[in-house]
Amino acid sequence: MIYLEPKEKILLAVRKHWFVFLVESIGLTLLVLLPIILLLILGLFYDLHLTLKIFSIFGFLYCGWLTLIWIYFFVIWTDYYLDVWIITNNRIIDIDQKAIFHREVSSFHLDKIQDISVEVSGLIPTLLNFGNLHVQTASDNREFVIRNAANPGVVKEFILRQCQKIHKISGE
Amino acid sequence: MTATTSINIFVEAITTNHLWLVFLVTVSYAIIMSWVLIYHWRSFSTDTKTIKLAQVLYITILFALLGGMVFFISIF
Repeated sequence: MIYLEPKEKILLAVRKHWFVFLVESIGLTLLVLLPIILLLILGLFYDLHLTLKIFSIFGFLYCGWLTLIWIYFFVIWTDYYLDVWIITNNRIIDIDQKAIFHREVSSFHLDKIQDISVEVSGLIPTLLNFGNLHVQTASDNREFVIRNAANPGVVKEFILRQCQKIHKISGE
Repeated sequence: MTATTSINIFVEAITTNHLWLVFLVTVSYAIIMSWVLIYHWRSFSTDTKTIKLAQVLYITILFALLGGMVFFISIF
């Protein structure tokens, strides 16, 4: 649950790039194929007569295996999807879903931002345009980081525009 | 005793009750995890459209896979 202050509106939600999720879930693709590969290897070394009984046991266990993988796939997706920076007209809410039952929520006001930097490192991040966004705040020199954010340059500019609006309003 | 003979002995020892037991354990785990996931999506998501799509996709495929398990028990 995200609790917004009065007159606070959500302007943008920043998540990690889809490529990060793809890399995390590639291992699951191999797990899906594993029983079939094992069966093929067994078939090479042993003379397996595929009776209806063996076929139904294998099919049953394979469906069960896929069920577990399907559930785990969505656990990974939930972890990816709920890891988000919510940018409102007032502050940035950093929601870090560390594990399924471990969630950290912190926030900092836009007028406390001192510096924003973008770090894009590597061939694939450069081609797909994702990287780390570092936001330095005034409070105890604390730095907030969102890693592997999509379009970090665009997000940086967006945050800076919101900061300028805040400073303009407080200056009036 | 060859490996093929061992596999055949193992397969012959399996009954429908064993398969139903495994199915029951799988369904119990699926129910608990589904509840956890759906709770998280509804409580912490900011985008209802994406979550609705995720829910539909997740439950549809889950039911299909569990249905597959029942099918294989039925032809066992």
